[in-house]
Amino acid sequence: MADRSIDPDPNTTGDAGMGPGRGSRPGTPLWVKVFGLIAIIVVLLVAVIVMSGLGGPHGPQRHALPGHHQADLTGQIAAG
Amino acid sequence: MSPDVRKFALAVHLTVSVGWIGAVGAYIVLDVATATSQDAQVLRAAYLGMASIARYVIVPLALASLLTGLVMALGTRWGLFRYWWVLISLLLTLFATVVLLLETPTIDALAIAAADPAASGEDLHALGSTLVHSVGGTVALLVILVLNVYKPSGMTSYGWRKQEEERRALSRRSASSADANDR
Repeated sequence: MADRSIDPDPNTTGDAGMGPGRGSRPGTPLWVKVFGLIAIIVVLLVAVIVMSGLGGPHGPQRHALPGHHQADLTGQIAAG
Repeated sequence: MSPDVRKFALAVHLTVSVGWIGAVGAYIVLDVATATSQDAQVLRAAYLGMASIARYVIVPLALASLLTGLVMALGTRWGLFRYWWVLISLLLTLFATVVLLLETPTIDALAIAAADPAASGEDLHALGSTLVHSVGGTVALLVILVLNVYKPSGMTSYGWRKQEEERRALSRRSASSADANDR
């Protein structure tokens, strides 16, 4: 998850340029806003694809053996 | 954490996190084979390989990455909720791990179906791939990697409050020690 090769020490480094100045509450950085916007677009896109059925069924039933080898993967999963 | 312990924890965290990405790369190679091949032997081998990689390599590495990431965050001044890049890395890691754990039983079931010797290449091809999940997971892991390498600036409101509290506490301590020296 996180590579914290630098251990910030606000007491000695003044936050090493990673935060706001003393006494000013930080606003949300632009990169976080852009990241959030992209995340919302991706989530909405996935929701539309799943709900419209454009991408086919979602979940284990998507992977079922056809024809005479009909296997209910959901049942296999339940059976372990 | 002492510097030595922190360095060791960082080494473990880097090993399992980068290993997670590498293992997903190996998984995707097999996943592509399930999406493109019609050959029963290739498909059978691919599904069985995918299940083994997922269960015995990817899942343990994902859980280890999450755990060591929490240790690194809580054991250093970065904290879990103080910096945007740490918080977003945590959320993406949690999301990727949950999707992986939900997907693993399906991958196991694909391997069980592929192990059926009566299934033809056409049947096995119809099982489909898990490329959407594996490629999506890789994108999430690469985003986490970039955030961890570049550590983009930006403190959360919570982090700012904590920093101010620590500054005030330090000022109080400095003032009281200066008073004690004057006396």
